[in-house]
This record gives sequence, structure tokens and C-alpha cells, in this order.
Amino acid sequence: MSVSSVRSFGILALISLTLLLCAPSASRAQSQFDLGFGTDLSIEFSPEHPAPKEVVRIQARSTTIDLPGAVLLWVVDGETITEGAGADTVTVTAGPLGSETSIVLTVFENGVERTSAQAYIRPVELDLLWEADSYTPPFFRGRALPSAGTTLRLEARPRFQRVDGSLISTGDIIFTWRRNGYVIPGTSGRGKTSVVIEGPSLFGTDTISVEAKSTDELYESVASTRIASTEPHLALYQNHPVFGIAYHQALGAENRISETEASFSAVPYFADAHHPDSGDLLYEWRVNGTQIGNNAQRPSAITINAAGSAGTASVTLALTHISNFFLSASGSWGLAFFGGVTPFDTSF
Amino acid sequence: MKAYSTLRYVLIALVVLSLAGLLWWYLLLKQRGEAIEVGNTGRGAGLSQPFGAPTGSTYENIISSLTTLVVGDQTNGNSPSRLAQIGKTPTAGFGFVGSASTTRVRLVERGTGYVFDVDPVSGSLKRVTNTLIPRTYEALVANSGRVVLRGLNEQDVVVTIAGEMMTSTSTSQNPVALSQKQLSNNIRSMDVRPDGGEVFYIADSSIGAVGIRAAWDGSKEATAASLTTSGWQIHWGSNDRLVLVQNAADNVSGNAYSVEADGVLTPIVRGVLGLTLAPDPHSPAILYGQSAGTLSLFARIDDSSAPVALPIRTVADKCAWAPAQTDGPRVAYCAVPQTAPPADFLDRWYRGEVHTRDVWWRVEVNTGVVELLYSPDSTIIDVEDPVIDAGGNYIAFRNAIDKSLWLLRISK
Repeated sequence: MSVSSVRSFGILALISLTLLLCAPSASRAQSQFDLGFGTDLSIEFSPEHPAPKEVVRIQARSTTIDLPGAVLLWVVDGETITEGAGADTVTVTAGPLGSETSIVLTVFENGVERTSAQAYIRPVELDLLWEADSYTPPFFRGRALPSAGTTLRLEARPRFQRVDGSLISTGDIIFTWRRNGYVIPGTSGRGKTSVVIEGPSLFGTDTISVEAKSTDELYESVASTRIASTEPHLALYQNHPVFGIAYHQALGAENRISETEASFSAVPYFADAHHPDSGDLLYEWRVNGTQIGNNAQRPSAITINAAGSAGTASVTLALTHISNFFLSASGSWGLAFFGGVTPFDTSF
Repeated sequence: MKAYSTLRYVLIALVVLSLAGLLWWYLLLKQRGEAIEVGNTGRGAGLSQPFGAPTGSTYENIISSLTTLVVGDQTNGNSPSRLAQIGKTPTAGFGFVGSASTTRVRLVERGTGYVFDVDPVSGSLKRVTNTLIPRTYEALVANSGRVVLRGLNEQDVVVTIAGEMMTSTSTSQNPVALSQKQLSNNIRSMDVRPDGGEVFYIADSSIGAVGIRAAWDGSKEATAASLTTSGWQIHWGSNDRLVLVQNAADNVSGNAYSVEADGVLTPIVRGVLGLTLAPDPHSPAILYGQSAGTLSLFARIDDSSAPVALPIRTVADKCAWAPAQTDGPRVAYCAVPQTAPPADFLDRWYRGEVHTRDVWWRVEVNTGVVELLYSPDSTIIDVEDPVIDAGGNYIAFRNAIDKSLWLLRISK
């Protein structure tokens, strides 16, 4: 083998390696293209994974062809939509779920076809659902948000529909879960539609993403969501002997209680607990600055008897966790009872 | 003689001391008794019970509100107010029962679980059941009249009871017992098919959560949907469309799905921040709200049409669909806060920390045209769970401020 032959082989190998490195990017855009040496051409979608009926910006890319000086012919599903010099960008509306839109790009230089590329838009849907296992009271209509120490449950719901109308089973889809761009160990794989992971750290925000790709690699999508850690929120409600806990009337800074004796329940929204009276939660009640002993069975509750008393009781509550040192919440409420005649007194 | 005299004085002294002791004991007991009585009174002892009388205390509350103008534009001396408070005590749940011509509001009292019927035209009230089920936090009422009552037991376990009146009350004026079938414990959320024949509920499972479809009494349970998350709201329309909406939070993406017969979840709305949804029970139309700093409301007439932004700012939880009509646009009614709620309204509203002061708007969903329907002058209503009767004449809703039940006549 001559020196020149070795040199030519080395150049060819370098070009081949370059093309191989370029290939993954193009495949993410669900495009297929015909490459010849010296005539690379790719088609890029934006968004990369179009949803049904979504407007898609399609752009031609080449490092070896002078696209602004060339004539580009765009054919969508057999119909020419654009032809002109430097027409390297077009917009196409994706079809419905289960459709396949063919995009063919042909490049002409000096009236001669230089190269062409083809890609397909196969719109898919991928939803990413999540909730935390933090505490919310029964019948609560809001989302359970994560606080430090809680766990996140996430679920990917793909809808990859073939042209024949059949849905691809989640067992034929490979899921890759990432947190802040890094693959979460032990969670990814075929049919892995859901994960249970630690929630974001105190004051932190995590970006959780899931990539779903059919085993035949024809269908692919990515969904991501930013999930911020929230602080547990203490709310105080009157616990009426007849009606129960008045979840619809959270007590504010100042409250007038139309009874002599009343019970109140604290609700630690989004706390790292499964019950407000969990043994892991530590409540510290104070009334007018004096610490009050907790009810052993119901440490989240307090009963105040204002018989023969008058004035406003300043109730403060501090919540901590027996082992989760990041859990901290507090609240204070002023409670004015009707019927009292002497300075406020409490009995528990 | 002297010894006798001494003995007599000692005996007299003993008698006096005994009498003094008895007097002291009497006064002591009396004082303690008064203290106990004061304490018992403070705890509610001696007050009339919420049951026992043929109608109960709720009857008085309801009658007093229906026979009294609460607010509104009384057009003449004989016409009742457009807006009336049906009950002053908290209501666990309610719904319209009967046909368009015989419609009545069926409500379940929160404190007792008693079922009442109210004629929206005459305002007459009838207590339907006499079975005490205290602390009923939530109740569902099917068009057929069946009810589902939900509450907490001593261990804070969510208990769900499907109830049916023991005998027909069409001829009897006396309350009847409520036959009860207990469903699974710790049901997260549920809804009843409008005809009362089936229930759908979300319960925890080993995989996260599961949607169960069962006969109204909990029998014939079958898994209808496999879920990972457990926080869902359920809407079951007259068109048998079963819709699941993720529990909402401000600025948090939410999705809604239709549960197909084969258990597949078909997306209805995807990726909307602070999503609230009011699906039309009669058609594929939906109203959905977004809570992301401000409130926005959108309408979509069917699955293929583009959503239309409506010029009113509220949550879909405050909207109800008018009955389907053969011609004319699809119409919904929405309660809209008079002032802009805070940025984190949804979270705080669900926690009962903030309330709104609403006025009613009429929405033509096809065109996106809205018009003011009714504005209460001085009464503050924070509307939740509105429902419309089959004739499209009345909107019943609960005031989120105190859970009291209200009725609005749609026409002037």
C-alpha cells in the first residue's frame, strides 16, 4: 500500500466517523437522509418531537453544500410546497395521531440535482404526570406537592399510534428517566412507565424528564417537567363536634369564635407524613406564650375552654420532624372567644 | 347531775356540728354542680338535638331561609327571590332529582347525614331519611335519588356508604330509613353515574392507584383504569363519558383523560398549568381553566376544535353546563370573582384560606360570547360545585365560605 493510499484511507475513515457522529442527531429528528461523500444533508424538526396538529418548523442543514446559493425543493406527501433558492426552511402542520407525513428535500446546484434527503413526521403524545406522597387531608382537591424528605411518583403516558391505527403497547416502548439531565439509575428500561424517586431537596427544583422510544425506533418523544420543593404549610381549622373539621374555613390571623369552648385541628399540608398525628411529627403548641402539653392521641389538635375568660388567645404552633431535620413549619392565630368576662384562660 | 349536763352540752354541740357539716357539704355540692352545669352548657349539653323531631333542626334553618328573601330582585310581591339560601347549615352534597317537571333539590346535611328534598318552585321542604350519619363530609346525589355519603371514622379512615331510601316516599310524608351498603375504605375520590346505577372511584393499589368501576352498592367491582398517581377528580356525564382530571395546583401542569371501555385513557386536555375542568355531561364540549398567576378560562366545543379563550376569569370548578338542546348554542353558566384573586388562588382556595365574591355569567360556548346573568347586591357567595336541573331553570350551588346550599333561578 502506497503512502498516498494510506492517506486516502485515513481521510475516508475520518469522513465516515464524522458522518456516524452526525447520524444520531438526525435520527432524533426522525429524519432519514441519503448521504454521499461530500454531500451531507440533514433535516431538522422544531419541535424535535411534534405533537398532533402541531406546527413544525423544518430546516435543512449541510456543512458541505452552499444551501443559500442552491435551489431547494420541498415535497410534502407528494406535493411540492416550496421551491426556490436558499429556501432552507419550511413549516408544516403535523397530522393527527397515527399519521405519517413524508418530507422530501432535494437540492439542486446549477440546475443539477446534487442530493436529497427524506424524513417523516410521526406525531406522538407523551404525558408526564406526577404527585408527591406528602400529606394532604381527606377530600382535598389540590395536588400533593413535594417538600424535603417526601417522595415523588411519576408516570409517563405515551400514545404512540401506528398508521394502521394500533397503539404501541408500553411494553414495546423503552423509557429513559432523567433527573437534571442525568439518567436515574435503576429506573429505565422497556415498559418502565413509572418511577418512584426522592423529591427535590430543600428549596431545590429538579427537572425530571422521560424519553420514550419504540423498540423499532420509529416513534420517539421526550417530556419533562420542573418540580420545585415546597415548604410544608400549616393551616388551622375549627373541629366542630357536629360538622367535623371545617376544611373550608382556614383560620386567619384574627378569628372570632362564637363558642366558649372549641377544638382546633392543625393540618400540615405537604409535610413528610401520612397522617397529621404521625409519631414522626412534633407539634409544639403555645397559648399566649405558654407551652401547652400535647394531646397524646391527637397532637395536631388543641381544645380551648374560654369559660369565664375574655380577650384574645394568641395560639402559635411549631412543627418539626423527628428525623427529617429539613421539615419545619409554623403558624400563629389569634382566637377571640365570645362569652368570656375575665382575662383569657385555658384548660386542656 | 353535772355529768348529765355536760353530756347534754356535748350532744348539742355534736348535733350543731353535724348540721353545720351537712350544710357545708350541701353548699359544696351545689357549687360544684353549678360549675359542672356551666361546663356542660359550654360543651353544648342541654341544647336541642339535631335529630328526634320529625324534621330536625335543619328544617327550621331551611324554612327560615326559603320563606325569607335573602337577596335579589324580587320582581313583584308574590315572586320569590332569584337567589335563595336553601340551608344555613353546611351541606355535604346535593343534586337535582326527578324529571324537568318534577325536579327537586336533594341535599345531604353534613352534621347528620339526613337527606332532604326541596321543591325549588314552592320552597317546600321534606325530610326524606331519619338515619343519623354524623359528620358526613362529602355526599353525592344521583338523578335517581340514590346517595353516597363519605366521612371519617375514629381512626380517620375514609368511610364510604352507598344509600338508598328503604321505601318509596312518594306517598309517605314521614322520613324513612336509609339502607346502607359500605364500600371500600379509603376511597380517594369518586363519582356516581347520573342514573345512580354505578360508581367509579380511585383507590390506592400496589402500583400506585387504580380506578374501580362498580355497581352502586360496591358489588361487581372491576378495574377500569390503572394509574400511578392517586389524586384525581372524577366527572361522570349523562353521555356516559367518564373523565379524570388531575388534582390541581397553581402553576403545576395538569392533564385530563377520558376513561375508555377498555381502560385506555384518552387525553382531553394536556399540560395546562393549574388545570380545572368542567366537561359537558351531554356532549364532548369542555370548559377548562388555567391558574398560572392569573386565572383564564377556555372553551372547546369538541375534541377536534381549537380552544377559545373566554373573556371571563374564573376556574372551571365554578361552571355548570345547561341541559342539551336540539338547536341553539351550548350554554354554560360560570360564577366569576368580582375582583382578581391572588396569584396562588387555587392552592389557597382549596385549603379554605381565601374566598371570592362571585357574580354569575352566561357563556355561549360555540361563539365565546358571555353576558352577565346575575349579580347579588350585598350577599357574598363563593360558588362551588354548581349543578343545573334537567329543565335548565335552576342552578344549585354551595357557598364555599360556609358550605351552605343556595339556589339561583336562571330566568328573571
